[in-house]
Amino acid sequence: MAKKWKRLEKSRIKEFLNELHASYEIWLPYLEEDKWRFKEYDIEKEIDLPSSFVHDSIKRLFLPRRKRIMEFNKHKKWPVVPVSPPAANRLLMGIHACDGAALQYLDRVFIDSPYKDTFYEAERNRTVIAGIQCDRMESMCHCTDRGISPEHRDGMDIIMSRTKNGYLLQAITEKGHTILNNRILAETDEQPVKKEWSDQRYPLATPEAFLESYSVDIWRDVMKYCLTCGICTFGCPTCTCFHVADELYKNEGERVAVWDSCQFRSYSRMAAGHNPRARTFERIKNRIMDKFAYSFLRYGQISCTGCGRCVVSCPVKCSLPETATLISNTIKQKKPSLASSDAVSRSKPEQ
Amino acid sequence: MHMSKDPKILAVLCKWCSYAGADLAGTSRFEYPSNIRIIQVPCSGRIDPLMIFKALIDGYDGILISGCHPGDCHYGTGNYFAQRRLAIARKLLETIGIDPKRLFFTWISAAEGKRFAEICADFHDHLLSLADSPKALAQEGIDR
Amino acid sequence: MTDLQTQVKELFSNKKIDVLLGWIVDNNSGIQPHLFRIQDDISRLVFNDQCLDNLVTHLPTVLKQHRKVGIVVKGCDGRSLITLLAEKQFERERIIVLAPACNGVAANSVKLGKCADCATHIAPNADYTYDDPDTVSSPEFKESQQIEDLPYYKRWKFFADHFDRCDRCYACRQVCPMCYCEICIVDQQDPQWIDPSTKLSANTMWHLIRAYHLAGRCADCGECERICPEHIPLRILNTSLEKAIIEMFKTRPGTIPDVLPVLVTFNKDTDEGIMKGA
Repeated sequence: MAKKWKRLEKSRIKEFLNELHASYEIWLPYLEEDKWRFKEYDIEKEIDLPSSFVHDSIKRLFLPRRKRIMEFNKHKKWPVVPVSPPAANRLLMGIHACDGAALQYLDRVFIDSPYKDTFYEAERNRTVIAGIQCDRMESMCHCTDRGISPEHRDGMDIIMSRTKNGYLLQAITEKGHTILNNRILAETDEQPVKKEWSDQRYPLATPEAFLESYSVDIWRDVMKYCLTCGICTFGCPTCTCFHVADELYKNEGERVAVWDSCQFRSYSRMAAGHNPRARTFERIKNRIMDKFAYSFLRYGQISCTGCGRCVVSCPVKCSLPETATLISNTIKQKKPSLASSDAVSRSKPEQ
Repeated sequence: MHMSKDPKILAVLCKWCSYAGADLAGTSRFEYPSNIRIIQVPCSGRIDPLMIFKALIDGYDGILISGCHPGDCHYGTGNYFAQRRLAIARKLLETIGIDPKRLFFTWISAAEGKRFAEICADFHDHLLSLADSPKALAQEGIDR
Repeated sequence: MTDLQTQVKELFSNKKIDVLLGWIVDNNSGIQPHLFRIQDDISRLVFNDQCLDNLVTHLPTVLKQHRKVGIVVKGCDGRSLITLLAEKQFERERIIVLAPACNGVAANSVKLGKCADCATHIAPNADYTYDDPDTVSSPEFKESQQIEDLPYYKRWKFFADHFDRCDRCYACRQVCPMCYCEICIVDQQDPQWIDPSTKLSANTMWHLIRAYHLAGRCADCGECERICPEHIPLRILNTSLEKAIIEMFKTRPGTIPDVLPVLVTFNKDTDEGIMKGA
């Protein structure tokens, strides 16, 4: 027998959140100028959860753009004072399966690895995640080609599904049970409608096969208009590069961790000036190999969940998933270098 | 940057003319406001507007820049570049809402000790009359 | 085949160019930049009001790999090309400039702001031109005029709200054809001139310095503003300086070939009115 769901009437969602607001910081996506962005709960604004693609990167809520790690002060004879991570309880509502899977990957990198990030761990521990199943897949979505589906639950504490005049909710973890233990929610026999999800938009070769593609010529011909601006890495929920800098002001200072990007030209520049990835195609190759091969070898999960943010945000309309599929096809069919074929034009790669 | 009785002024002076002029003001015992910190550069042409922006962020209320008179530059042409650069830098400050009068540019020669003192005093008084510069631009301390 | 397409085919067959930087139409993704080679289908080369990119940004990279390069440029792109040539970034003989008349480009059916300020509807100093442009109007610089109508404290509030959202992705720098420094000042760490984090003072520094480094060189192609993921109105900063330069030096960047940008030259004979209000 399928596990029961609880039902939240659309008309009572604000009542529900207002009650929770007393003990939880609440974050959800709001639609602003056609873009969904995560914002703190605003009692004035209408609540509507996204049915598909969310532009804003969920990463912002767990790995802040600028994170203060410690501060130091000359007058206090420079003791280093670690900055405490935030502690208040937080409810994050309205993320999708792709972001839930991304959080799982980030957990492997920042909690389960030898170098734990206490800030990230604190943010994860204080957050209850209420994810919502997508109603449809947009053109940039390809989670089904990355081993998950829009109904995937990993990384979430509560799973939601949109239904007529409301939402269905089901608790997955203890944290989720606590939230759903509320008289505003009624148990129901209703189940979410099972959907068929298509895949094979951007099929992928195995990580082992990707490693074989290291030396093929095709790398020099893909994503030729890439500006290495880094917008794709900033939106990507699984990109984790960061830079640590000390910012000094007169007699005091602070150490901060800020987002960095492997796509920046100076990312791999070394002290003596040598730069092993000075050329654009080298950086593109490194990123794709890392996402589809190296991450799997290091953490047991490829660092792409098919969210599609890279596709939407690219200013020159490069498509990273399309490129990954092109490389995958090259490995499978052992195609010669692109330059000698007419695949230079932007047609879809053959399946 | 607050409406203080003591506006902080950064003076960036070229080594050959203006700094010597400031020295002369000192040895001749001409008085000028004490809240002026002087930086010596080899030539006004060396001045990068980055220094101006950084000074404003570090909390200076006004920046006084001085070089050799046109034709007298020790390196020949440095001050000609400087005057164009600083005009543009001033325009940029004006665009983002910082009173362009906070950037004062002039020519002071090594013999003009008295004039240096007068210019400093005038600039100091002038800054007292300006409204507060945007507080957020000045970083008062670390970003808690 | 359009005149442009015919000409390109001819240039390829006469070996006048090895590759061509232009725009291609693709069923799935719309209009995008493309490096055409001799074996490509030239009937897919397009030029219309959806050709938003400034292809001159890609030119130095392409010139490193190919001897002779053809490039299709709009008027604004042509202005950036002229400044790059004046700064001796590559030789004029290595490129063939194809300049179709441009009467403005539009994104989502809305004409871009920069087009109202454009007085070069056909790139100057081109090898081949196509069609006639509509009559040229004088630049309005509406956006920066709006800022000038505000009192100082309101101007700062306007910019502070925008700079606060800057993520320091440097997409503006990457897409700009005039930003070609081997090591950008913001990437210098020894000493660190500009803090890499996103606090307001550091973001302000970054935008001020970038606008300043572009003064007299920026061609107002508007790409920086178009691709900024946070929709920061970068053109206001750059065009306010462009206006100042037009007023002070009576010249618009990128309009006259072989003229160096104003901030790297000087005029001994006049004081250029700069010291007034010093």
